[in-house]
Formats: sequence, structure tokens, C-alpha cells
Amino acid sequence: MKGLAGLRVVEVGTAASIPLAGVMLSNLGAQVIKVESAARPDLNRIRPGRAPDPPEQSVGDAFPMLHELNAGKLSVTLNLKTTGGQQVFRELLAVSDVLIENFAPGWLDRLGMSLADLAAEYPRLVIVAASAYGESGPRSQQRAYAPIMTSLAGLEGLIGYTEDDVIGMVSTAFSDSNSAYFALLAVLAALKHREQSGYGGLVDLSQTECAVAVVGIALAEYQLTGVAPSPHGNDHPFYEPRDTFACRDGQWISIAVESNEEWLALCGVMAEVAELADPRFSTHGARREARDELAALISRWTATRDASDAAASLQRRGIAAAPVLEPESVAEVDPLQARGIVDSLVHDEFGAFRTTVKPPWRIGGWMPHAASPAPVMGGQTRHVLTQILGRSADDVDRLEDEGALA
Amino acid sequence: MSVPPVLEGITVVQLGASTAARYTAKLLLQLGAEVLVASRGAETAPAESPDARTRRTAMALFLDGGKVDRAMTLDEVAACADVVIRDDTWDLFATSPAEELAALHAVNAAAVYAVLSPFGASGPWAGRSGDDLAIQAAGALSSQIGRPGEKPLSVPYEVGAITQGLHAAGAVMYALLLDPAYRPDAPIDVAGSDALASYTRMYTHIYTFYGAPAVRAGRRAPGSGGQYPMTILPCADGHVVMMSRSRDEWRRYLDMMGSPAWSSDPELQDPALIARHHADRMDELMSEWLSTRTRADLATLAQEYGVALAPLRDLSQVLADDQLAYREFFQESPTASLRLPTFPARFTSSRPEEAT
Repeated sequence: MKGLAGLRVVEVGTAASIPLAGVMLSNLGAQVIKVESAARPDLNRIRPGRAPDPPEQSVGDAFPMLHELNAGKLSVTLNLKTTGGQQVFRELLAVSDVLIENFAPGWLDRLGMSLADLAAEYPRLVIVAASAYGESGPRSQQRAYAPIMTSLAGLEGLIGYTEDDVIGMVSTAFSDSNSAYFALLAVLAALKHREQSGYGGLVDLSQTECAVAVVGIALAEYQLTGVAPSPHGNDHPFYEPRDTFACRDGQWISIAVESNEEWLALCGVMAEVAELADPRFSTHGARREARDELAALISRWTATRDASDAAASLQRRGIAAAPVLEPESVAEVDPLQARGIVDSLVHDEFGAFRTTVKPPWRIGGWMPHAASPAPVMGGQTRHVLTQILGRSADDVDRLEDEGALA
Repeated sequence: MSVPPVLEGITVVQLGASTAARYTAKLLLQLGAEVLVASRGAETAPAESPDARTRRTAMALFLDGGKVDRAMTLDEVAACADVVIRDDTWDLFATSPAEELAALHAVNAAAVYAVLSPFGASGPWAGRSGDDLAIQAAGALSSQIGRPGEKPLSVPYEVGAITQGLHAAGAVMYALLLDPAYRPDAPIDVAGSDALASYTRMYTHIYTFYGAPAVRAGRRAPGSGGQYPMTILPCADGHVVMMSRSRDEWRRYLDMMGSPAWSSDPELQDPALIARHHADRMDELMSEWLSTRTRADLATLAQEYGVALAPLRDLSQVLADDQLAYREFFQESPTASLRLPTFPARFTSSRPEEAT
């Protein structure tokens, strides 16, 4: 099932958010043409060298994230500062359904073709501009990285061990994926609008707003209580206990108990820790009062088991529990691999690799998947110009000589 | 209007009370659908702590505003639903989701039916219980949050389930775009663990590529993500996050700090070399400089010097943000005196009569 087959997407994106949205559209069957330039390649093509190589020696296409984020796409190089490059770009838009981009607002204006102009010129085109703060407003011209946006959205400050021990989650670059998922939804919604109205339009997506959107519960709670939320570990007022616990194999397990029935079930599973059956712990409130004591008792039990075995024992009794998987084990363990999360691809130069980036839903046993590795920069320029745009080979040679395809 | 009512005329029936299902339906509501929540009638509220009651109220305000509660039979659902969002908190009307879908399709063959669960409807973990912490654990998100050797943390306020709901809304929108004759005749199966796992592994490639294991590294990304800084550090009145991804950006950091004497060391002029060899030392030097400056001062300096530095805000500051206000991102809740996030995109149709 490739439901977006026949749909053509032009992507002018760098790094993570819009390339991630683009790869998901490709997974769903769209033809995604990544427009790049030698002057401004995708950040993931110019990462610095790694030891022992000097940093100035870029790793080029060897960077694995390039392939996770660009699998299945075609690459065209255009110098949009040239007349010929702009002309080809416009021809491409004329035969495409969607344009997605994530450069700072105004970059197209400086080239003499604003987003509004393009929307008017190609009225069936769906344009998604995913900037840090949106196309308008006092901060619209500022650039940002993912952790900057989640910090400004209040998300980073909610994560930590205690109120005074903020940790955040900069390593996850959560904003990139979150805004990509919103961008995908926005593209699909705008296509639905086009199906009904016959017209595309401009979607002005703010990645910072995307991050604020996911803390809506915390925002509501703050306004109800007047107290700005702060970190509280893995605590949640509906559950007790609810935490991660160390296991025998060096792994961790999450355990959460919501009801007294679940608590009794947990006591049954952990029967060898007799103290847990103490009536002092029989109510939710009492368990919250004795949180540290309970955590120590539960840890005694988990410390004698491997995480996956402990989770299975608890799950058999209906208790929410799961091993804390490491990123690489996601691609290894049966439960996720069996669902179709992992795709195996082979790159001509770098060999076999696995990718897990995709719309993670199954429909009748089918899960979207990547069709081919990321393209080399400009790898399909000639193909796209001759086969999709109908340019002659001589014409392409001329454009190359003029520097329009660099 | 931030979003065109693309789903005007579409009725969504929500069968379930999980955060993921509620957020899916909320997003479809924001896109113009009518959302009916199948209700069981008056229920006795469980005895709860004040904290739990407040959280439940906050969740209802954010997730359920604008939806309509209605007691419904399967026949009534089939008669009105274009989309059904279900989870395992609501008893099946049939013996399986597939049978429930068959009953819906007997009335409306184009109906879209999505099932949300912690671990999915297939595979060795199908049917297992899981809260938001469990899906963040199984989706490898928790493994990346926290200090080395200490317990893994999770993102609070149901952010894992919210992410799952966002994906499910995408899946439903994808199915609605298909020709009705080719819409799925099987349930759309959206698992919380898949939703997080599909992404989490991707970013850790950066760290392993640069020789740092993809493990919890406290406030700093493992190996600084190849270039220093990619970290949170304390300042005089809280914390700031700092990023630099090039020598130019790092040079601006040094300028902002007044080009201290240590910055003449060639090893400390390249963010990639600092990431490899000097991140701990640089954290100390930066912390010393930050300790006498407030978040507001630092934000101003960051703008002046063009560096990627931002304060870790609390939610009162988020609600007071001038950029969000300019874009009218928050909207007054119709049922309470609260301001809540709208859909995070503005849409301008190219249809001449709609263009603004």
C-alpha cells in the first residue's frame, strides 16, 4: 500500500525536521525530490571529521543520519542564485504537489520569489514552511536548534530528578521529530483541503509552537494551580509506585501501578519481598507517603532478575512494565523488529545499514518503509531535468556550463 | 483561523479514554471534524488525591474541550462514524477489533478505524499493559534521559502518548486521503512504543558516529554531538541551553564571553576538538562565566552576538512570550478561564476568496 504514489514533493531542507517529514512522505509512496546546492548542502553532508581525522575533513555522505533522513529521495542540485537555476526550480514546482522547506524566513524573498508569490503562481501547490518561530512576529528572523526551541517552550525545564535538579533532554533533539510529525500532518491536511477546494496554500509552521503544543496538559495544570510545574523524576499523581528500577543484567525496568488491584497483583509477583504485603501500603495515598521505602523494596526484587524477564512476569499479571531499551536494541529485539520498525538498505559506497525512521503505523500488516538509500548530492539532476521536466540533454549541458546546476 | 476546517462534515467517534486516543481526536477536532466521545453515562469519580484530581482536570481541559459526550451502541457508532479512534480502555462492541471494523464497514465501507495501544496489536508484546512511562522505556526514549549510571527519566505530562496521538492523527488523515474504495479494510494499528522507537535511534547515530556511546550523559549530549557545546548549564537564576555547530558559531560564543585568556589556546578554538578532549573543562569555564549572569541578561547577549543560547523557561514565561502572543498561538478555553495551545501552524489557502 503506497497511498501517496503519484504525488510529487519538492524538499528544500537541511538537517532534521523537514528532511524527516520528507522521508516519511517518501515512505508513504510520494516521489520526493530534494533540491540542494553545492553552496548550501544539507548539514548532514558536511559534518566535521571524527577522530583520528581532523575536524575540517568532512565525513561527507558517510554520516548515518543522512541516510536515515533521506532514504528513498531523489537529489537535484540547483544554484538558485542563477536565472537558469530559478527557472528549473519553478518548472519543478509547476509539476509538483507539495513544497516543504525549513530555512529561515525570507530566504526565498532574497532570491526574488517569496512564499506568497509561489503560492499565487502555483495555486494547487501545498507549501509547508517550517521555521523556528514562524514566518511572522518579533522573533521570526532568529535561527534556532532543536534544544533551543524545547527550552523556550518550557519542556526542557520540566525534566529532571527533583525540583532542584533539572536535567533536560538535549540529546534527543525532540523538537526536530515533533515538528516533523506536525509537518506531516499539516501536509496531509492541506492535501485534503486541496481535494475539496482544488487549491493548495501556504502552511506556516512554527517549530517552537509545535513544542509548546505538546505541553498543553502542563500549561493547563499551571493555570489551575498557579504553581509553575518543575521536575519530579518519573512521578505521576495517578500512580504509585511509578519509576525505573535497576535489574540484575545492568538494564532497567519501568513499573507503574495505578489501582489497588494492580498493587495486590504486584505484591503477588514479588511475593519473596514479604514486606510489600504490609497493610501500611494498601492504599495509593499510603504508598505515596512511603515512596522511598517502597522503591527500595521493589529494587530488591528487580535486582535479582533480568529486565525483560521481570517485565514479562509483571505484564502477565496486568501491571504496566517494560524494559528500558537502548536505541540500538530497538533494532534488535523481537517486539519492535517483528512489527516492521527496521528496514535494511544497502548503499553502494558504505554498504548495508538499518533505518528505523518512518511513519510508525501498521495497516493490515503493512508498515511504511524506506525504498532505497539516500541519494548522492545531485545524483538525479540529469534524470529529473530530462525525464520529468522534458529538458533535452543539450539543454542540461548548457545549464551545467552556466553553473545553474551546481 | 489558523487551520482550514478540512474535516468539516467528518464525524469522529472516540472509543476510549487514553491520552493518546484523546489527543488524536483533539487534533482531528482542530482540523474541523466533529468528535463524539462514547460515554458510559454518569460514573463515580474515584477517590483521589488533590494532585490527581487537578491533573485529571488539566487533562480534560486540554484534551477534551469541544468534544461531545454521547452514550452510543455499535449500531449508532456505525450510523454516524467516518472515523473511529479506539483504545483498550473501552470495551469492544464485538469479539475483536477486526469484527468491530467489519460491523462498521457493513454500514459505511469507507469508515477509517484506528486502534491505539501501548505496544501494538501484533508481535510478542501485543495486548500488554503500558502507561506513558512504559512506552517511553520500550521506545528507548528514557534510556537517553538522566545522568550516567543513575535511573532513566521520562518526559512528564504524557508527552509519549501525545506523540503517539500525533502519529495516529497522521495515519487517519493519510487513510482519509485514499480513494474510499481503497481505504484499509483492516484496523490502523498505532503503538506508543513504535511511535517513539521509530525516531529515538536516529539521533543517537550522531553520538556513536563520533565515538560516544549513546547513553545518558546528564545535561550534555553524548560527546556534545560532535561539536561543543550541546548542553544545559546553570546560570545565576536558573539554567540555559547552549549550542554551537560550527567554528564560526563558537567564535561568536568566545566574543560574547569577552575573548577570555584561555580562548587563545588553539585547542579551544575548535568546537569539534573541545567535544573530543575538553568538554568537562569547558563546562567549568562556561559555568564560572554564566554564574554571574541571569537568564534574561544571557538571552540579550545571545541576540547581540548571534549565538544559539536560550533560557530554560518555566511555563509562566511561556504564556507571556511575545512571539507566541503576536501569532495568537494561545486561545481562551471555552469552558474555563485558561489559555491553551492551538494547532501550531497557520494556513493560508490559495483559493482567491479564502486568501487573507
